[in-house]
Amino acid sequence: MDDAGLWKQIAEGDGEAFDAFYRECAPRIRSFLRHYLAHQQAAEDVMQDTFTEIWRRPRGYDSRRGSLRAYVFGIARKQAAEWWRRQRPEQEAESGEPGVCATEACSLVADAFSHLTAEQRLLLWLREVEGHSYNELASILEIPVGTVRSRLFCAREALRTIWREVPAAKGDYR
Amino acid sequence: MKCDEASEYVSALYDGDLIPPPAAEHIGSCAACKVRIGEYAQMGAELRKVACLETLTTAPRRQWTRERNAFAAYWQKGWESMRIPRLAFVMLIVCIVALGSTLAMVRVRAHNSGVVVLLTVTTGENKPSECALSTVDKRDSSCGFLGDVEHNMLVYTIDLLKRDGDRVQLGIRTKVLPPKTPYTTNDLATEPQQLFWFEPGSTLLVEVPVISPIIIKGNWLDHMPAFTGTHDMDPGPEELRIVSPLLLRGNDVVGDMEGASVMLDKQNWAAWVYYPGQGSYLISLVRMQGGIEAKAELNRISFQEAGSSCVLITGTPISRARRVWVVHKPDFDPNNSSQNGKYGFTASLMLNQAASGEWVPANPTN
Repeated sequence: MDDAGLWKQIAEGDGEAFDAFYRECAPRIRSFLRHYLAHQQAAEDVMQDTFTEIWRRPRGYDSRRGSLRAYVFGIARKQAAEWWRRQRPEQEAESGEPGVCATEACSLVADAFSHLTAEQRLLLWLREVEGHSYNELASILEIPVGTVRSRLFCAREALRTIWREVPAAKGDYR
Repeated sequence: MKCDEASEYVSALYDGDLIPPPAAEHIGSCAACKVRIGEYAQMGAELRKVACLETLTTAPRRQWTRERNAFAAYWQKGWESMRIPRLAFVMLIVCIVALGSTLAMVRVRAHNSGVVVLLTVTTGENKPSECALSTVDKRDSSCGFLGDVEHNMLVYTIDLLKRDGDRVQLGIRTKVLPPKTPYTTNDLATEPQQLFWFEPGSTLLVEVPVISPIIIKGNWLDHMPAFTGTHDMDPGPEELRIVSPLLLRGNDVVGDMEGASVMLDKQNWAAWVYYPGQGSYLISLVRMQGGIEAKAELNRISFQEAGSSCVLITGTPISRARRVWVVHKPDFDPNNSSQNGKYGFTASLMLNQAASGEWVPANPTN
């Protein structure tokens, strides 16, 4: 079923359709939030809030403007931003959690990734892992496409710099 | 072109974006830039590997049900079984609203959580209407209007989007239509939303085509009013009001105290209602010993007792609190007190706090 059809079902209150959509997307949203927020419990809470919000108020999605998945990531980002706003500034530094990873190379990247700023983690994750296009990223982040391009470059360079220094990298990279 | 100049294009090229020919030419012949692309690819692959491992955990199944109030269900049933043309019905509704209307359709609930902005919205020559928006409860963060303004029909919705210190961000959608056009505030969802930062105490002008600007003023409130525009209906901070209480158990009316009332403005008091044949009910804003937690909404208190759903319906909003406690004494015998058991009564009882932290009547009833 296409996104517009699925959205129609959700808007009409089809709980089964929404549950299937939730079960498909929730792990990805949770994983994204976990790396963006660097806080496992908060990621779970924000993920649940995201889907609850969409279910309660199914409005605002326009299939002409992008995929439903990108729309959900956009809502998740806003919920996460709200979570950030409620936290104390020191929370970010305190709450860093390592990624779940088995291989050494993998954990090195995850470690380097955790030293990026929240915005850099957000952007890189959505591009590299979720594969969103520049246009979708612009829509999710509410910034121009040109800014997406330059910020992605900065984020990649920051990650590359830290990654090359790992395991020496310990402090926050800004 | 040098590596420094081309570096941003390396990232874009890696993402499959088109880049200027000089940059492409440089990257094609530069070993360092190729290494950079390789590193980007490696980092991307490692991140995806992390993600794959994490997303193995599935999401637990959840029950998704939407709260549906009785009015909505009634409305839908009526809509589906309508015998007259629906367009004619919609026109009728629009006419009624347009003719009468300087009326803002604002649905709010009585509760005492969070901070609320009470907006006073003036359109054209109409009397100002009020719109209460919660900064913490998203269910109460929007309001809408549909009515005649300067020989046109104005529709607007106001959403409180976020708070930043002493100001709030409002998202406002407007549309001006010819009079009596079939339209609802829900239809505005596809219109562009204008964003404004608004500080209560100031005045905001929202430009609208054809008609005068919408004038918005506002103040902070410490609670969500039960009704806007009729502040005398609004319960005070510690007020509990039981007026003409009608008691339903399941679908049956089991007690009716029409005309009787008890109004309290201190938390350490309980309303006391006796229905002949049903026993007495103590109702309080504080947790009473042996009490059942009940939901308070506008003019009704809902609770479960012995497997039955009970609802106490009153003639005015009950409290700002969303929950109250109810103690039912089915065996209460008024003949053992100063009351006559043949008749029901409402009264008030002072409460004392017990060592457990729960509250009990200062003078025990039987």
